[in-house]
Amino acid sequence: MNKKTHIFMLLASLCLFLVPFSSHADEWGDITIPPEKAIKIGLGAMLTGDYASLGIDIKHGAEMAVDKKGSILGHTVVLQAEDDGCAGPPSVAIAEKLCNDPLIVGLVGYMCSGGSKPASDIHNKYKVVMISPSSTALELTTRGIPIFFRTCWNDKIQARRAASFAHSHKWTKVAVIHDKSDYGQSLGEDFAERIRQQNGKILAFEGITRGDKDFSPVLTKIKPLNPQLIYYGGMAAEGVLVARQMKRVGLRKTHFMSDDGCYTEKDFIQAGGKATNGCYVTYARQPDPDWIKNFEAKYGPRQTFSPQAYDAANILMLAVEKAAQKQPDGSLIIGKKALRNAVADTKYNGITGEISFDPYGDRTGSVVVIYKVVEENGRRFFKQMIF
Amino acid sequence: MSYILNPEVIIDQVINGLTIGGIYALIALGYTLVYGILFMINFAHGEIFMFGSFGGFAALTYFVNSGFSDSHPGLSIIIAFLVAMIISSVLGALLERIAYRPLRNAPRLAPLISAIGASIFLQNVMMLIIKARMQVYPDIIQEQFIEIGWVNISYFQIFIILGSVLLMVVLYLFIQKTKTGKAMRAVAEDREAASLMGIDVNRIILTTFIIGSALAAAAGVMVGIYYTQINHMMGFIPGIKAFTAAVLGGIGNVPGAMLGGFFLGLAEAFGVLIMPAEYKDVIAFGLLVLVLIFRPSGILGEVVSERS
Amino acid sequence: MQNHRKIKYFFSKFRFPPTAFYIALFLFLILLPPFLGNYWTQVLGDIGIYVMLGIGLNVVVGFAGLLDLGYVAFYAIGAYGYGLLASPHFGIHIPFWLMLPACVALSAGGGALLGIPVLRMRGDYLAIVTLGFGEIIRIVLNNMDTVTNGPRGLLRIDPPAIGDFVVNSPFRWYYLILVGILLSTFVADRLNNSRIGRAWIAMREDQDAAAVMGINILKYKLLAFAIGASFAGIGGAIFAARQGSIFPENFSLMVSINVLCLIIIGGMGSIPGVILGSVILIGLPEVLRVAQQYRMLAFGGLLVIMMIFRPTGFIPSARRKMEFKE
Repeated sequence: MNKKTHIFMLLASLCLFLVPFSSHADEWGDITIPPEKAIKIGLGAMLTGDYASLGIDIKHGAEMAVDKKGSILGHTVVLQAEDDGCAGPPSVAIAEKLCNDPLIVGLVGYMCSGGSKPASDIHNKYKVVMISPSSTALELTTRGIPIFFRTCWNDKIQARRAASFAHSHKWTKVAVIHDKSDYGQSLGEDFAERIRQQNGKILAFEGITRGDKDFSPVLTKIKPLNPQLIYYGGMAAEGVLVARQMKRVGLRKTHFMSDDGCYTEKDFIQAGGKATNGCYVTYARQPDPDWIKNFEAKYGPRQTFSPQAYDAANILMLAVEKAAQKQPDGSLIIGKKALRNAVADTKYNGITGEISFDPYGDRTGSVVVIYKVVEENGRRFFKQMIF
Repeated sequence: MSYILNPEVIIDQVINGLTIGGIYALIALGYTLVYGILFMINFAHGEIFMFGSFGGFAALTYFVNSGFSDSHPGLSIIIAFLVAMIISSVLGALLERIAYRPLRNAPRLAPLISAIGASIFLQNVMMLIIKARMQVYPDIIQEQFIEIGWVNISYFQIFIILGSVLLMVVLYLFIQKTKTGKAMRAVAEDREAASLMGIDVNRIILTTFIIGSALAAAAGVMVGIYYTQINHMMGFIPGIKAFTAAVLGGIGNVPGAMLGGFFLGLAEAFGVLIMPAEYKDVIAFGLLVLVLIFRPSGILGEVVSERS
Repeated sequence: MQNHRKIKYFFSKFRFPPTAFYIALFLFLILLPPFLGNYWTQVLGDIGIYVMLGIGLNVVVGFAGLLDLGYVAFYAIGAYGYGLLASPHFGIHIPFWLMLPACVALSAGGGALLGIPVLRMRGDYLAIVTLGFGEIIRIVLNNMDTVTNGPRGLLRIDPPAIGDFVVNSPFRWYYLILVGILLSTFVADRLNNSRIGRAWIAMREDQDAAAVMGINILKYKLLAFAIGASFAGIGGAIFAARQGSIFPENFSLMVSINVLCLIIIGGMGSIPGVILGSVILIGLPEVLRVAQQYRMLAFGGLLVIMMIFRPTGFIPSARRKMEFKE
C-alpha cells in the first residue's frame, strides 16, 4: 500500500469514528423471552484447573436447583455454565458474552472475587443481576453496584470470627500466610487486623505464590518465632501443602486454621492425609441433611459452595417469577430494574438458612461455623465446633 | 531479624535448599547435556519432567489399588521410578525425532520456537488426560524425621539429596569413563569431526536426550513423593529455574549443572529469610538475568565448542 | 507439465493484493459492527488489540530478528502506566489522549532499558532473558501493593472521552482500535522501507557482515526494542481503558507466547500475516468456544508443524521467503 492510500484510510476512519455510534443499553431496559424460548440462567465458575473441584461443585448446586424448578411461567429454565478460570480476564469475557445474550436473565457467579470484581462492572453496565455463591471480597459490596448480591458472606465476617475463635483459645501469637491473591490476602489482612485489636501479636505476615509447592523455606523462617497458630488465607490446593509441610518442618505443636477455600473433602482432607488432622477451617452452617443426601446421590461427595449456589439459583428464579409479566402471546417481559428489586427484597428460606440482603447486596445474618478435621471410627471429616 | 543468624534456622534452610536444589540439578542436567550437543534450549524439558512424575503416579496408584504396595512398599517405589524413567525417555526420544531433528540445520530460532510449541502441546495433552485437575501421590511410606535438638530433618529430604547426588555421580562417571560417554563428549566438541571418526551422531544425540529425560523423570517422582501434588503445569516454572541453574553452573558442564542446581536451591531458601516470601520466584529469575548479563559462561565455565 | 508450470507462475506472482483490495476490505470493516452485534464486535476488538501487539512484536522479531519472549512486560507498563494515572487509585485522572504519548515514552524507555543489557547475547539466551524479565515485571506488579494494589488490581479506570462523548461501548472501541491498527500499520510499513528497516534486515541476515558494513548493531538493536515496545505501550493503555480494570494476572507469559504464536503462524515480517494470525488465534477460539480446551493444544502442535514445514508462516513477506531459501 502506498503512502497516499494510508493517509486516506486514516482520515476516513477518523471521521467515521467521530460519528456517535451509540448502540448498547445504558438504561435498565427489559428482557424479552419470546414464546417457546427457554429462560437462561448463566453460571461462572472454575470448571478446569487447580480449583475445579469447587467450580464443578458450584455448577452442580445450581444445576440441581434449575433441574428441580424445571420451568417458570411456561418457559423452560436452562443453566448455561461457563468456565471463569477463577480470574479476571475470562470472567470479563463471559460477562460480555452473557450480558449480551437476550435470553439470559441473570447469573450465578462468579466463583472467585478476582473474577467477580471486574465482571461486576460489566454486569452493572448492562444491568444484569449477578448472585455469587462464593466471592467473598469486601469491595464487591462497598462500591455501590446495585446488581451484585451474594449468598455467601464477606471476608471481614469470616476473618473476624476466625480471630475471635483464636482469641477464645488464647492463641495470641499468630503467624499469617496468604497466597497473594485478592481473596487470600484480604482475608489474611482482615484476620491480622482483628487479632491486633484483640491485643494479640502477629509474628509474621508472609505471602506464597499460587501454584508453588515448596513452602518449607517460609515455614522454616517462621518456626523460630514459635507461633501458636498459623492462619492461612487461600485455597485448598496450597493450604493442604502448608498444613503438611508445617509438620515436616517441625511446627508440630502449632495449630493451623484456614478459610472456606479449604473447606473441601477432596482437596484438603483426602489430599492432606493424616497431616490435616486437627486443622481448623471456617465455613457456613451445614445445609439441610436431606438436601445433602439428594445432592450426593446425584453428584457424589459435595465440596464447599454447592449449597450457596443452589440457594442463589433459586433466589434468582423466584425473582424472575415475581417480576416477569406474561404477555398474551405467551412471551415474557422482565424489567431489569424490577428483577433487581425482586432479588433485593428476597426473604427466602434456603438450605443454608434464612436469606435476605442488606442494601449493599450482602447477605444478612450470616453464621460462621468453625470446623475441625477429626478422625472418628476410621473416618476423617469436618466436625463442627461449638463456639 | 536477628533470628536469622540462629544456627538451627541455618541448618534447616540448608537442608531445604539442598533438597529443592537436588531436584533443580537433576532437571538442569538434561538442559545442559542437550545444549552441549545441539546448542539448543530444550524448552520442552520441563514437560518431560512432568510426564515422568505422572508416570510414577500412575504406577503407584496402580500398586495401591492392587494392594501390592502394602506388601512391597520399597519395591513399588523402585518400579515407579523405572516406569517414570521409561516413559520420559520414550517421550524425549520422540521429541528429538519429531520436533528437533528436522530442524537441525535450520536457523537458530526455528528449533527454539518448535521447542516452545512442543512444550505447549505436551502441557495440554496432560491437561486433557487429567481434565486439568491436580492429582495427589498416594502415601506409600510414612515420613520419618530426625530431630537433633531443634533441627528437623526429614528422611525424604535426605533421600532426595543423596539420591540426586548419586545419580549425578553416576552420570559423570558415565560421561568420563565409558565409550558412549566419550562419544558424547566428542560430538559436543565437534560434530563433524566426530562423525568423520565413525561415531553415529544421530544415535549419540538420541542417547543424550534419553539420559537427560531419565534424570528428569527421577526428579519428577521425587517431587511427587515429597510434595504429593502434581498437575500439568508443574514443569513450567521448575523448568525455567533448572535452566537458570544450568546456566549458573556453566552450560554444557555437568558438574556445573550440579553446582548450579544446589546453588539456586540454597539461594531461594536463604533469600526467603531476608525478603518477603512472595518474592521467592524473583530470586531465580533475577539470578537468570544477572548471570546472563554479567557472566554468561557461568561459575565453572561453559563447555561448548567453538562453533558458536 | 506446461499447465503445472503456468499455475505455479500465477501463484508466485499473486503476492501482494492490489490497493483496491485494501480499500474494499477497509470499507467492509467499517460497516461490519452493526451487523455483528455487541458480543462479536467485542471479540473483534480483542482481535484488534492483539493485531497491534503483533505488529509491534513483529518489529522486534520479524524485522530485527530478536526473539523477545517477554513482550508482555511492555504491555503491562503501558496498561499500568495509564491505569495508575487515570483512575481513583491515586485520584489522578489524566485524559487518555495525553496519556498515550506518555505510555509510548514509558514503554519505549522500558524497551531501551531491556535492550542495553541483552545487546550482546545470542538468540536463545536473549529469548530466555527476556522471558525472565517479563516474569519479574509480573511478580513485582503483584507484590508491590502500595503502588499497584497488588493482586486486587486497579479498578474503575477512566475510559477515553472527548467532552461528553465517551468511548465505552464495543462499537466505539472497535473504531478506536481500528484507527490504532491503521496507524500502527502505517508506522511499521514506513519503518520497513526506511534506513532503519534496511539496517535491521542486514543485521538479521548476517550480523557480522552488517557490522563490517558500518552498521552500528547496538544502536539498531536498541531501536528495535524501544520501537517494538511502544506499540505494546499503546496496546496496554487501550486494554486498560477498555476493560476498565487490570490485574497482574492479565500480564502472564501466555500473552507473550500468544503474540509470538500469531506472528509465527501468520507470517513473520509481514503485516497481512500478523492480521491473519490474530484472527486465527484469537477470533477462532471464540467461534469454537466448545473446543476451547483444545485451543492451546492446537497452537502448540501448529508451532512445531509450521517450523518444520512452513517456517515463514502462512503469509510470509517476500524477503523472508528468500532468506529461508538460502
